This record gives sequence, structure tokens and C-alpha cells, in this order.
Amino acid sequence: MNILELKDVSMTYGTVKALQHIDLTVGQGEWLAIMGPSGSGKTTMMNIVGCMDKASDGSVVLDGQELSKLPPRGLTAIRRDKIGLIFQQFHLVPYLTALENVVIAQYYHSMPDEDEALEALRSVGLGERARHLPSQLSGGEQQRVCIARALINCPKLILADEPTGNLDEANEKLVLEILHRLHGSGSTIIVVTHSPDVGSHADRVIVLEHGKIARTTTGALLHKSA
Amino acid sequence: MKPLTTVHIALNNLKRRPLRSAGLALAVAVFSFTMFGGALLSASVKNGIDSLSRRLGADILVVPRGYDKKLQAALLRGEPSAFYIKGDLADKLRDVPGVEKTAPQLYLATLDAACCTVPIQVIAYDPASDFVIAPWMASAASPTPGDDEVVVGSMIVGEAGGELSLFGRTFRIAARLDRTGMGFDTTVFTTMGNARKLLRTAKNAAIENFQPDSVSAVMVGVQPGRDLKQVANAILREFALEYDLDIVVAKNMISDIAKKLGGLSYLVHILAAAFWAAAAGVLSLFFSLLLHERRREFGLFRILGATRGKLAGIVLCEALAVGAAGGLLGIMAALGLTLPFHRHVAMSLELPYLAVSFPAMAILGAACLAVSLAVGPLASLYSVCKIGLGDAYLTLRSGE
Repeated sequence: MNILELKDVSMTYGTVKALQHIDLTVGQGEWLAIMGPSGSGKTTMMNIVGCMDKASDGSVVLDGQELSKLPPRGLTAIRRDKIGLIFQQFHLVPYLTALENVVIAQYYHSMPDEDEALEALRSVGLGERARHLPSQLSGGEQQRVCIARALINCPKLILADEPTGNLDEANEKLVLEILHRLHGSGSTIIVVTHSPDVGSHADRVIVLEHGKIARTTTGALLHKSA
Repeated sequence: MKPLTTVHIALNNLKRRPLRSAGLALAVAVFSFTMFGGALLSASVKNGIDSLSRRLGADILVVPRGYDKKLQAALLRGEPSAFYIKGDLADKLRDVPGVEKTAPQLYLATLDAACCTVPIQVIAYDPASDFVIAPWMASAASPTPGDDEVVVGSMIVGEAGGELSLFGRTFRIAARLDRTGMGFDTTVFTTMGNARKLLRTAKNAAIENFQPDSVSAVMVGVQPGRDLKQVANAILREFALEYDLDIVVAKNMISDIAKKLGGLSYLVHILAAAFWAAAAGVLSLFFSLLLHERRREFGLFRILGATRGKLAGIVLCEALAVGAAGGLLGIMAALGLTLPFHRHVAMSLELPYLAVSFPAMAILGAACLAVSLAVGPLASLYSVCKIGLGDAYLTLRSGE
């Protein structure tokens, strides 16, 4: 069963064609990596799949819901209810503790539950750091808070944009382990990345060039070629 | 952990930048300080004028030529004065057409008194004919001073039953008056008989031009329905030359004072409006800058599912918190720093002063706080309208 279907999706900014006639399906529980050079359309695709922008043309169906017909408020609701976002820059709220940074996602989603948020932090190994402000955490720890925040509302799809781009090797390994654990428990993951190492963990890899899918491969093959 | 709410998020952000938040609150505080302090002063002066016009009693005040201002100073501020005219004037004035009643008063100015560190005014009156002092005395326990007794104004030191030394002579304090807002608060009252006894032994009284039967002023009550101007002119025609006197029409005196209050209120309103506009300007600029500075944070909240209304709620909460803190700070400062000096300010402006009651003060404070609270949300209106517009994810990634 597919959780995401893109049919003939195009995105144009003025005269710039950021995406051109993309057809893509992502199955439930699949780990997909989107790779490509800068300007290839990765962020545009992330925006469209993440309900942060609407495609100029084509159809996008997420969990059975057609996104192109939804008004901005509807997109906000889908993003809030079905998608967990992980960012390269973590984007934690600086004046809220790690725990509050997780709870805030619950607050804008439904009802804050401190115990649940604490459990999410424990699941990424940060139970002891829950009361710390982001400025008191290392980059790896901040990224793990970001992951806990993405997971807290049990999203259908985890969308990670360069999740290890700002981390050292040890923390990259730690974050990838968490993603593997999530994948193992049935979560659907889409990772946008430059890194073949990160891409190689995915079930499937698509490579974008000039707004088009240039090729599709598997993580295992990518690993071998790397 | 405190429950995470819009208010919690807003307050946390304000706490993160304590100096900036304090600066903003200070801008509102300057406004509320001016508004509340000024409004209290104006209201107290108005209270004083109302009290004066309600209870002055006399329609026309007759004094020696050139002493009309001195009389006003004695009545309004208790400024010690001593001026005299012949005492038979009071009886003669009763025969002027339109005059209903007259009451002579004798003013003595002490140069020192055991009670006080500054010279005080002594007013002697005739309880039998008086209709001016009596209304103020009504609330006192012993409304008419007996032999060697005085009634003291609310600001004269000494309790009822105690003693007061004037001109080297000791008097028993029969009663204390309630606050009047006039010079009566710093005046000692006694009877004509006591005053004359006192003057015979006086060492320090200003007694230039004093004759044994002299009085300082005659308070005149006009028959109802009679034209004050006509009665005043009649008095001048008959007695101006013989007694060398001046006339003060009480209504005119009060309307002159009211005009001064009008000027004071205008100044207070202009200042308050200027500070309000300045506070609104500073806050408006701040919230515009804040919107820019926090665009990523708001972008993130949008991505997490916050509606624009929720984001607007955060900014409005911050604006309200700044307004409330500044408003309260200004009100407290006005109460602590200006209230003790209001009486002196009013007196230096030659205005009567009667402090407003606590409930009236609370209403003024609440109104001032409400206006202070309004300044924040109004100043943040532009930012609130612009908030959350544009591409949330691009905003979040801007500058990466």
C-alpha cells in the first residue's frame, strides 16, 4: 500500500522549472532517499511532500488525501497530523527546554502530554537532558531532540532534510541508528541528502537532476558504488 | 513543567531578553506614570475646587484694598496673612440692600508656634454670626471653641484634648477638622474673644495697623435671587472710600481657580498623549523588528501546525504583558514618587487640593492600566497582520 503518490508533478517559479513531470510512489514503511546536486529540486520536492507548498501541476496524494485541492489551512492540518519533520539546522526554540521543544509539537497538534514527550526524549537517549535549553546541548543532542519532536505525534511519514548535515561522524551514526530503529518499527521515512553514506541506508534512492528524476537505485547499490 | 500555552511561550520569550523586555515596559511605564500621576493631581485639585465651591458659604468677601490676593492665599493655601479694617463694617454691611448675613473674621499670622516648623494662620471668628467656618466645623467633635480653646486644621500637629502654644499663650485643642483641601487644613481657629485676649499679650503677631476692634475680612451672604454684581457695587459705592476696601466675588474666584485647573489638565493630557504616542512608536518598531528576528521561529511554529491566529496570540500576549508590567510599574511609581508631593505642587500653582478617595484612585488606576494595556496590542497590530505570511519552510531555511 502506498502512502505517497506523485503523478506528473511540476513546480514552476516564474520561468524556472524546479520540478518537471515527476511520477513517484512511496510505499508504507519504505525508506526513500532523495539525492541530487544543489538546485536539482530536492527542497522543492520536500516542500510539496511536506505540505509546505503546492505543486503548480499534477497530483499529490498523501495517505489517501489529494493535497493539490486543499486550502492552506488544510495543508497545515495534514502537515501537523501526518508528517514529522527533521531539519538539518535542528530549529529548536531557544528559550524552551528540550522537553518543551517536544511538547510544543503536541500543543499545536492536539493535547500536550509531558510523560509521552519525556518518553520520546528517552527513546533518543535524552531522558537526562530533558530540562536543558538547546544552548546547553551538543549538535547531536539537538538533532535528537528534533527527531523526538518529529516523532511525538506518531506521524505517517517522517521527512528528514539533511538530518546529519550538521553532525560529526559519531552523532551521524547515532541519528542513523535511530532512523533505522524507526524504519524497523514500520515508519515511512523520506530523507533528502547530499551524502551517499546517508543515502545508502535507504531501501530506495532517487537522484534528481534539473527537476527530473535522473535515476533510481537502491541504498545497497549506492553503498557498493560509493 | 508548567503547561505549555501561548502565554507560557510569550512570557518565556520576554524572560529570555530581560533587558529588552524591561526597556519596553519602561516606555509604557513613563506614559502610565505621567498619565496616572497627572490624573491624580488633576482629580485632587478638582476635588479641592468642588469642596471649596460647595462649602465656602460666602458670596462676597470684603477685605482692605490690595489684600484680595492675600485673602485668596490665606483661604486656598493657609498662607499666613494679617490685614485689618475697622470692625464696625460687618454691622454696617447688613444694611446694604441684598445682603442677607455678614460674618467678620480676624486673621493673625504667627511667626512661630510650638506646633509647627513654619508660620501658620490663625483665623478668629464670631460663632454667633458665622456661616463660613461652621460648615467645616460640623464634622469636628467640639464644633465651637470655648475660652482658651482652638480648633485645628487637619495638617496641624496636635490631638484633640492636647495643647497648642500660640504667641506664647497655651490653648487647649478642642477638636480637629477633617481635610478640606483649602488653607483651612493649616489654620488654627478660635473665637474673636480669645484672639483679642491673645493679641493683648502677643509678642510675635504681625499687628501692623491693628486697632482693638479691627477685623481682617467680612464674609457676606447675599439674599437668594439677588444679583451679586449689583450687591457688590452697592457695597463699593457706600463703603469703598470710608473703609478703603476691595471686594472679592467668590464665584469669580472659583472660576479663576477652575481655569487654572483647566490649564493643568490640558498640560497633563498633552504630556500623557505624547508619552503614549512615544510608547506606541517604540513598541511598534520593536514588534516589527521582533517579527523579522523571529521569522524562523514563527516559521517553525507554522510547520509544526500553528495557525496564524496562534502566532498572533503569542505576539499579543507579549504586547499585553509588556503593557501590563509597564502600566503597573508607572502607576506604582506615580503613587510612590509623586503622590507625596501633589499637595506642594498644587499649592505652588495656587490651587486647592483635596486628595481623591481610595475608590476614586482605584478607578483612575484601572483606567490608566487599561490604556497602558491597549498600547501594546495596538502597536503590534501591523506585525500581527503580517505574521505567518509567506513560505514557512523557505523562511525557516533562510540564511542557511
